[in-house]
Amino acid sequence: MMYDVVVIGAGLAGFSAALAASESGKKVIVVAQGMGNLYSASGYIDFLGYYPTTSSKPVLNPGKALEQLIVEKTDHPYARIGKENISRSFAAFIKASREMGLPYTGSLETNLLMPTAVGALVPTTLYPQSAEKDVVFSREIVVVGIKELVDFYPAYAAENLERQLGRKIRSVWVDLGLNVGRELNSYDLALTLEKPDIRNRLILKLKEADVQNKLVLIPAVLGVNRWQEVISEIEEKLQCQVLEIPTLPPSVMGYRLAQSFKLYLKKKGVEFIIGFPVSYVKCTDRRCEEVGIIANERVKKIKGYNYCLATGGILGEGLKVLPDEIKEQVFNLPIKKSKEQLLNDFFNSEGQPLSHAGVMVNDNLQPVNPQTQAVILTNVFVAGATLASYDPFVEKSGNGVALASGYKAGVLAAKGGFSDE
Amino acid sequence: MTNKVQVVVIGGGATGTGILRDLALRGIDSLLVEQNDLATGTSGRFHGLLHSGARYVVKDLHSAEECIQENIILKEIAPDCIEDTGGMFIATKNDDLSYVNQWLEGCEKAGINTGEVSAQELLKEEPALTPDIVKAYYVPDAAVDGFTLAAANVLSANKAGAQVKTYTKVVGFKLEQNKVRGVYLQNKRTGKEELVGCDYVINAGGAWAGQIAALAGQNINISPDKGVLVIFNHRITNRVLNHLRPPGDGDIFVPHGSVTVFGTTSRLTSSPDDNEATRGEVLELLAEGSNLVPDLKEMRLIRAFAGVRPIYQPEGGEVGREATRDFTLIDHSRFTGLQGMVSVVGGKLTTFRLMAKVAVDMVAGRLGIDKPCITHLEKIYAPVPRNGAKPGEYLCQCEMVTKKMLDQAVLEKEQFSLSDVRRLTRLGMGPCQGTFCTFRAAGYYHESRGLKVKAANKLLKDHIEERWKGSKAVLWGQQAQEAQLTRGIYLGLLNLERLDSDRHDV
Repeated sequence: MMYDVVVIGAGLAGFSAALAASESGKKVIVVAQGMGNLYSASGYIDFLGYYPTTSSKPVLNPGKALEQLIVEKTDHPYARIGKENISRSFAAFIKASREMGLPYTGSLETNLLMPTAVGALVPTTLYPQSAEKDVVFSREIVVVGIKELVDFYPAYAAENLERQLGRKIRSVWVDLGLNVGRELNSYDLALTLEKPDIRNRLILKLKEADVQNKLVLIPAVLGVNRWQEVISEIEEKLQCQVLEIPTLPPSVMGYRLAQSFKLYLKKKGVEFIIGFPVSYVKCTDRRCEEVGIIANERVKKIKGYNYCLATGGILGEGLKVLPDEIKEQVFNLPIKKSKEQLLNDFFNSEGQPLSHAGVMVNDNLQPVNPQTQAVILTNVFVAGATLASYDPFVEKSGNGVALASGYKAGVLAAKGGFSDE
Repeated sequence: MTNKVQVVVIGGGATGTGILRDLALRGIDSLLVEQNDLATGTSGRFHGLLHSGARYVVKDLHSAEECIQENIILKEIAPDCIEDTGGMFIATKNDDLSYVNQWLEGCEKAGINTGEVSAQELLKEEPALTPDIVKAYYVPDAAVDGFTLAAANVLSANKAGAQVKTYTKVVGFKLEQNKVRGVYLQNKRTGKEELVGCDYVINAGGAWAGQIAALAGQNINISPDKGVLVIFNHRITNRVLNHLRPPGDGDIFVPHGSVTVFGTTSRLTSSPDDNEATRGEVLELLAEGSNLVPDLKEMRLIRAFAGVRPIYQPEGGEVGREATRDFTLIDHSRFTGLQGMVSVVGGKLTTFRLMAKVAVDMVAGRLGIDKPCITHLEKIYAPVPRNGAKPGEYLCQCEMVTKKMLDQAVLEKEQFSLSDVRRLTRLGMGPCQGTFCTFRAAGYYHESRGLKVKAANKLLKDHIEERWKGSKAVLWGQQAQEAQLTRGIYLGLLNLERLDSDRHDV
């Protein structure tokens, strides 16, 4: 059996590539060794939060900052993708998100400042419709912590928000009285809150906290699957607005997006093999002919006309760091790596050389030799964190690059017919 | 607070705190000053091995004898600080077997019990070891926590009336007629200076002892000798592992809590503050260690650090690993006529109590106090005990640290860093290296201690920075992945770097 497009990787970049390819009616398979980085991400699509990254002011109009970046940083993934393709990927994602029952909203022209678990504000471009709430201009804010959760401290987040917003922000603890005898993480608690009696207990406690007509900031634990129902119920019963704050991994918001997206792609006919790394590749004449996985001690060959490589960089194990070099794990592609040492300052806003390392590509997202710029494999398109020349963590661009590069890679892979650049 | 004591002890490592406790238990009014936190010098930067003495039996029998005597005493009096893992010495087919016989003879002379074990039997219990073992012996080595030990000494000394000032630097001595009358101190956090009068000073500055003595115009020849160590994210062996050969680089593995410390190297360095490990030094160590643990290079490293051995070098003496690990008590009056000051130099953590006893015997004698040393008779306790928590109470799951332990760790501190807390509780010392618990601890202290939010932000940022610096030399494999996760959380998800915080410490 021959696939039109084989996507390697099951994070946002891989899903986005699968979406693009399946939209043009192609036969698509996703193979991945793990569940993808979305499970530890916020579930928000950050696109470009700070530019230049050393600027102390957040980007408010990411589309405008993008134009500047494309001119100034020609190696950056966004420069390779181009603004028009980025807009297309946004539109496709928003449309798909509506169809998958997890509607996202937002635009390339505006960043919304979303509160984080320490009470910082992070510029965010796309977000679930239910999160379209502006903390900067909202009336009264109450930050709620849940005693059973060790990963959120409401007074701490509230006081940081207070300093930035310049007004008093109340915080409160609620105790759900769950006697479970172990520490609960966000995912555990979110599962628990799907039970009607526990949810009612939360609503009762919130009522006591006097949240009517207020914006309630609460860690993202309001259900794993039935969260929209939980949020609406709280908002209706207590006449308040609820905005969830993404938590430390396991991130429930990232989980919701990953699950909904995967289910949606399956319905569109995309096949999935998850849990096995690609163990070999067959390439001839600068083309990948076949990739193989070993499942249950048997070799399974997967043949396709075109391939998208979306293996999630160092975090997703698409890149392996060794003492003296960095290796791309599937095709052994050459890595563009700076000679600089790691910076002493963890929080340095210029970013770490480690993050800038990755696979260099041309405007078709085909992998190229960093020295000669020659295309290495003509039917492979690279997306997401495996790409070189950006640091998603200081730019706040991780999901944005994944979404836009994945989409373009998927479109090009579906189109196919590339012999060379 | 009084500004006159009988004795000022300089240095908050194992030796200094041991001296303070010995003085206090003999009823001598004393103050200890330490430029940083307790055990931040060599006592917190070594392999954490409570020697049986077996390592020294061939070249330095006297040290070996002292080690085994102190080993037995410390296991008795300091159970909170010691994990009695036992130890083993193994020789592989590439080692010189004639050394094994010399070593066995030495152990016998020093009174160190050895028990031979077959390679086959040992490999069943310690499967990470090389199958190339030809000889293997058990010895009474153990793991000791230098941070807890110093804190436990201080707790015992405090109870007997002694005082301690941490983050306080000695900036000079008040000398009158060639006699020490007092010590000028500066609080590093506030910058405030003060004079504390005293009859005697005991300089237990370790690698810094030479710098301190110089402030009183005294010359001590300390050759700072750097040892690099790395930490793995799991217990490679259950017992302390030693290479049965003449002492060299990379031949000691010590299990601690949920991790393993492996080292060490021995290189002369120019400064006692040279505590950075380089990637090259780490790779050399790993190559050496692979002789004992074949899969070593595949195992996940979480940290590298270095400590500086304070090796005392009398004129024309040996340096580095050839030098004696014996300690020396320098009575400055014998060399320069300066009264009221002694320096304790050399030695090793295992023999700290004995060093303290010898120093205090001399000083007590000079002060006309004839009370005997009783430090071997009374137990010492960790100020933050680890027992008694129920599931559901842990803030740091790697190292089982509870909110209650966090409370106890800062009980009498006006100002603290999470590094201070870590040394008392092991917060952030486990496999995740603080990625999850640092955020929790900052949030918890913000509320429980009523910290201003900028101070809480500083606690959080400083500790993440500190953990990052320690991992820089070992950022490959899974640890590189973990570092990206940490960056993803603190920069990407939390956007912490954009928050205001109090100024970093100098």
